[in-house]
Amino acid sequence: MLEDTIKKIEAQIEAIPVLSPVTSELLGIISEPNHSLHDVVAIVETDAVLTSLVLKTVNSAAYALERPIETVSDAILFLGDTIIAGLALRREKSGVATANLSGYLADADSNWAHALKTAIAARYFAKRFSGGKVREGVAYTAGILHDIGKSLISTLFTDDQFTSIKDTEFIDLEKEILGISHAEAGYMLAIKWKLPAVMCDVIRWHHEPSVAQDDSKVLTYIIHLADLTAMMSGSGTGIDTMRHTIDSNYSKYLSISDRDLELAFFEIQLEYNTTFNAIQASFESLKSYQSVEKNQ
Amino acid sequence: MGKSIILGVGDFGATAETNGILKTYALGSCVAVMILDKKTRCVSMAHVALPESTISPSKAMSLPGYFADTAIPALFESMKRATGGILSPANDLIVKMCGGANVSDTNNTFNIGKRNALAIKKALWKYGLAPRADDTGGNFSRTVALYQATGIVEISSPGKENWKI
Repeated sequence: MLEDTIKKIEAQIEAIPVLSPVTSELLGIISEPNHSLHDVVAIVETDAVLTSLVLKTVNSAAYALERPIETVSDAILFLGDTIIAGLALRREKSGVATANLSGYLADADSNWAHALKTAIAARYFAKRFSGGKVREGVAYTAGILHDIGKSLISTLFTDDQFTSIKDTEFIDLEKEILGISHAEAGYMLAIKWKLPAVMCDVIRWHHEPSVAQDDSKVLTYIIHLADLTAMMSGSGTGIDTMRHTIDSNYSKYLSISDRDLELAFFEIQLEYNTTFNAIQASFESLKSYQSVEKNQ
Repeated sequence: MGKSIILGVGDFGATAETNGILKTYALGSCVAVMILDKKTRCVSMAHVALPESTISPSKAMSLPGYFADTAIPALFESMKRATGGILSPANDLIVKMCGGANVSDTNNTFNIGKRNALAIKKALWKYGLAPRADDTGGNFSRTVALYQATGIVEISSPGKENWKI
């Protein structure tokens, strides 16, 4: 049975488009510690659709600017470059962060909302509590990508498998039903996409962070914490929401108190509300433009 | 079917409109606290995310529904606004609450859901109130709808049959 499942997942991975060159390049640049704004602007400006998304996002009602921002460099100065990686990943043809997760009883919007909130939380934790060990851009990207395996195994669940759901860690339930978890499936895709080794490790172990390699352990704990923070604050992915176990050893790697965590919940939610609305508005606007163009 | 008011994280609202519905989605560790006035038939709901406003007193002024200690007085005010200034005494108010789920945590440090529920009960107690119906805890998310016409709260969760309190 496991062999069949693996074959099905491999077939899906084959069918998924690879990341576009612009997105791959952006993710690479943002993960560099000394990258400049100019590097990011140069890549964005080679891509007309991404340029348009960046400008529509920054000028959306969510940010309520007094004067519109007209250049990509001003937009990136205002938004920060990590959100640009979010926009690039959101429009990827693979749809891994925007797929409908019917097997999890979650729609495409929930999938994206969870990815975005996890990314914002991960960047918040990296900036304040990692002691400079994890770069914000890397944390943000890992937050968007951590659940890419869900879209691969979602279609393999059948309707009746969750009718009498057990009170167990959902990762164990996935393994019991399919023989493989979303984290393991995501790891297979990450390898195929040739993502950096640290990113592959995070995707594979974000529910079991103690097993991650030493050089990716802090980032894996950040994503572990960010993932559960997103679920707790109302942005889960359907049936597995809240059905995971927190590894309390996060406190060994992140100097974060209970009070810090509560403040984090609050500030992450406020940033998420603004960012989600701005990105949503820019994609809606792009969709209307494309549909007008198609009808002409 | 009356008008639905959708409440996001930290929002609060009230309606006295016939067949009105108050709804909030995907409560994880957050708690929906609801007050029903038997006399005026006004109902209210807050989507509480954290136990105490002391972590950000200035923000709590503009977002009182976000915190357990500021949400209850905010609900009273919103009910008065919905009824033209009338709010019945505690004896005529019914409180219901749900949400407050927790992820599994062996060290019991990541238990914001449990602390939210306790903080709301503490805040209610100041006004001589206690929940008549309490559906908090567990490790699953809840979407909640409160119907003005009946005072019934309908709860749904992915993979479960809906239930009512």
